Amino acid sequence: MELAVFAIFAFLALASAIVVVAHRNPVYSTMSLVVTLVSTAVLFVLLGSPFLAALQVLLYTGAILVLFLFVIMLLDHYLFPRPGY
Amino acid sequence: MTPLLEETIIALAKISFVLGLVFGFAVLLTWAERKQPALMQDRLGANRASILGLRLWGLFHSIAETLKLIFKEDFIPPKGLKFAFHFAPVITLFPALVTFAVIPFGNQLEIGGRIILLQILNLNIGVLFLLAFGGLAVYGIMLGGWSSNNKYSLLGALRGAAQMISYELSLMLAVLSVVLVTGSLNLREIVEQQRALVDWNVWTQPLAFVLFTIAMFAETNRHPFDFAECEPELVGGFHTEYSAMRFALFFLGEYCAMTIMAALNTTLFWGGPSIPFWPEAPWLLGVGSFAVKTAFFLVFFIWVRWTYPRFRYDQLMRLGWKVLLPLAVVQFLVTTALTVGGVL
Repeated sequence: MELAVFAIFAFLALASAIVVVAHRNPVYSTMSLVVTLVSTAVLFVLLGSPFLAALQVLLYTGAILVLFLFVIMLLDHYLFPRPGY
Repeated sequence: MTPLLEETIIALAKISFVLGLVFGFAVLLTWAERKQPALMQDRLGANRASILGLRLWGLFHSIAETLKLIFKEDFIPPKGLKFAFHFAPVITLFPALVTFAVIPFGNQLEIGGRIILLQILNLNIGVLFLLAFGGLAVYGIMLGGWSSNNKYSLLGALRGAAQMISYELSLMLAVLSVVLVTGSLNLREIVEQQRALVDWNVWTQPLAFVLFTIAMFAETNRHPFDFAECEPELVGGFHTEYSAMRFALFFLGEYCAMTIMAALNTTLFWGGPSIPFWPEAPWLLGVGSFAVKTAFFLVFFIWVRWTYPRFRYDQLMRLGWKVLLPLAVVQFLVTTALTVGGVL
């Protein structure tokens, strides 16, 4: 059970981490970074540290990545593909 | 039965009960959102939908609406980002449903010598879990607004996200004061310490309660802070381009977020399932008490919506950063001093 959960979330973390650097669209990159961080939070829970996991979700995905998205959405559209251009 | 099977059955029963509670509140809210303003403005409100001549004060309008939304065209903007567009409503709904797992909706129940806590997940870091996953709701609004490829949607999304981030600070500081007084991040512990009427946190933390209640409106994007949708300026805000069931999902997400905020307010400040002057009440009455208190705050949401005009956006930001945040910090410092000094 524990191994299965570890396998699923480790795979998710790695796969989404690859998407972060490989995808052309920065918004999708940011969103996959969210997936990476949430999956590593699950790994922290498996390691017996739910506090660290909650703080990771709270600080990184709840605050810092929202600011990333903010900046990306306000950037000029010719810098990267945006919907409709 | 093996213990594992028993545990699974109990957990499934609790989960289905909580889901029923949340969705039941959401369905009743669509109805109340019509009927309550009608009551306040001295008109009849929705009362046309009927099944076999039975009208039930317009309750069937929720069913009629759902059917209408299922059969509507699911329009997808041709130049939008399809994947994000499909996914955004789900992201809005997910945090509201997940966070309800840590809310204690009753005291405890004893079946065959086995004590069952009426709470899906009794986490030691319940409050942190709730705040962490509650914060993810921003992504639904931002992605939905951005992927629609519509300037009104984008503006609505940016406004909504900015507002949710700004008010989250005051909300968290208000919650932290309660955590300080209780000395625990466990929501069960917070409820247990409020068994008697005099121990309700609202008496020791009135300012935190007021701050939490104001921030609660901003966090759920409800009137008077509903800048994410703001009909007169932004058409429909972040969900302008959404139709059919995706639109309904956004609304379901909003109603679930309202329910979770109302339930959190009840849990933190109003004793959760406790009943005044009757600490040893049977478990069913405790659940009922929790539901009634939550329902009160839901009615309060609609009450405020039809009483006050909408703020201007700069007023909203000024209120958030220059009034609520300093107040929350002062309140937090005073609570810390009093707790360390042993007064509270």
